[in-house]
Amino acid sequence: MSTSYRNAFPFLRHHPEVVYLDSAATALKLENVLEAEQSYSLHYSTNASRGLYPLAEKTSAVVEETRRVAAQFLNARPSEIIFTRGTTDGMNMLAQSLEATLETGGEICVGNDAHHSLILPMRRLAEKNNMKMVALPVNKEGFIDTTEALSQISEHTAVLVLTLVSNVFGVLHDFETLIQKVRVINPNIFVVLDVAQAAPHIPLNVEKLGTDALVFSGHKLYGPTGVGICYLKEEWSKRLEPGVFGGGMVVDTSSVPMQWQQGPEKFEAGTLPLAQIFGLKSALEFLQDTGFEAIRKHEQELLQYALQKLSSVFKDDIYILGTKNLEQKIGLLSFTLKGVHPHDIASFLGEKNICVRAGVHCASFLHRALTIPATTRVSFGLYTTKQDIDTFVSALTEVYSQFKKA
Amino acid sequence: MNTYQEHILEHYHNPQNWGLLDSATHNSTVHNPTCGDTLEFSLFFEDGIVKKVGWTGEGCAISLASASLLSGEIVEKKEADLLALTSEDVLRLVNLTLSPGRLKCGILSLEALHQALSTTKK
Repeated sequence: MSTSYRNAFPFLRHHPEVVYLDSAATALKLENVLEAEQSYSLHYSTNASRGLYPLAEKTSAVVEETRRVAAQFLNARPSEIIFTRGTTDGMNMLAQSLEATLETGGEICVGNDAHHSLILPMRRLAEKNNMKMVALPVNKEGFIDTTEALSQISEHTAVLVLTLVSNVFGVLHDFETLIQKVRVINPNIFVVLDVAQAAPHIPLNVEKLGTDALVFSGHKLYGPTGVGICYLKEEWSKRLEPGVFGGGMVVDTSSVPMQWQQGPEKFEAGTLPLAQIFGLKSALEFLQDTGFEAIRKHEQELLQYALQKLSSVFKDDIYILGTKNLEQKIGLLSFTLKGVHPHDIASFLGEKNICVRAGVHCASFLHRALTIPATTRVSFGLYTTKQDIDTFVSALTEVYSQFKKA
Repeated sequence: MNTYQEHILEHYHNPQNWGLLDSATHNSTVHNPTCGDTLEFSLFFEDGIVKKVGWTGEGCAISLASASLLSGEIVEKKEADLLALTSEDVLRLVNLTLSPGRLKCGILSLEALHQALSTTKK
């Protein structure tokens, strides 16, 4: 499968020498995504929801069609889909809206595996609104401790932020039951899910998940950089004040207070990333056409292969973070290798055109909690092959040998 | 260019001046939070000149090799000369062209040295 899908990614035609194992940072771009972006510039090139001429209406129609496709992707309503510039932008947008809406005091609970794009906007919200931050611990397998998490939820908890798939552990959470139990303790809590790493790998259903909001980026699911989606449940969309202001989100500037747009437009100030929205539509449709069953099958085969190879070559000298249960992992492995620092691994492999990530992956709170200074991470995409893994393991063996003291 | 040239690995495996001094006049600890590299430097000054240096650390080969190479250059030097050392001087010692992502690794040792120089005898 990966061979046939490699043809859909022009980067690999232009750079066949590259072994790209950093899809969790950003995925390679689909050809039809690039074509859609270019189509916007060549044949549309107008703003959306502004002009009254036919060309502008055509652009608006594609934007709204993308909104509908994103809604279908999540089993949500189009009125609940907000276009953002990415996960970080979406989380900051939500934080600013919560700051403008919530009363001061109360608590924000955030999983300790959260990316900086979640924790930092929430810390800022806590500072601004005199709220307390509560960290929910993660166990060695990479899972939020549910019992511990529930013990931290109370009537004081205003916001709960969880990561469906950690960008360090790559483990798949099932938060359905936890969120149901959270709402029994506190029906007023605002639940946000980061699905940036989950969205390219598993089907998402906001009703089943039970979340009030979720965020993800286009560029992690083979789409363009500079665009993302924030799902916001309708009742919260009505309740939250906007936190970002500008054109397109206000109805009447003469009224006191000002009257904002209803629906997602309230949170979409300014010109949207239009070419990127065109591209995002293509990426979402590609995933739906491919089917998540096929996607999961492909990556689980690669995971199994990679885990077996790494264990057999490095034995106890490699520590792979998180569960090894294939059903509970996406195609992402973070590890430490005895005697070689992750930066050295990444540099050495980089010189061989093997792209891996090293450091704390913008999850410094997690690395501190684990007392691991840094890790190396490999992450797979639809284009990843067993040969890529062979090349990676071979190079890793070489750097390991070089660094091992004589 | 191969970053991991022999001299880097040699200094990584057999660092010069490894180990903190029992009696130091100046100490420092520096840390790169993005990757966990940590260096500790200890210096013994007499009449304004470095007589002894010792260091330890944990981190990547570039940061440790840089610390080893720098430590070999500072004995018998005056404080003013050491304070005048720049990132470029240290990178010349390391003798590598480092990518922007690895520059901090290469010059962490200089940060450790300058921080040690800014401490006063307890």
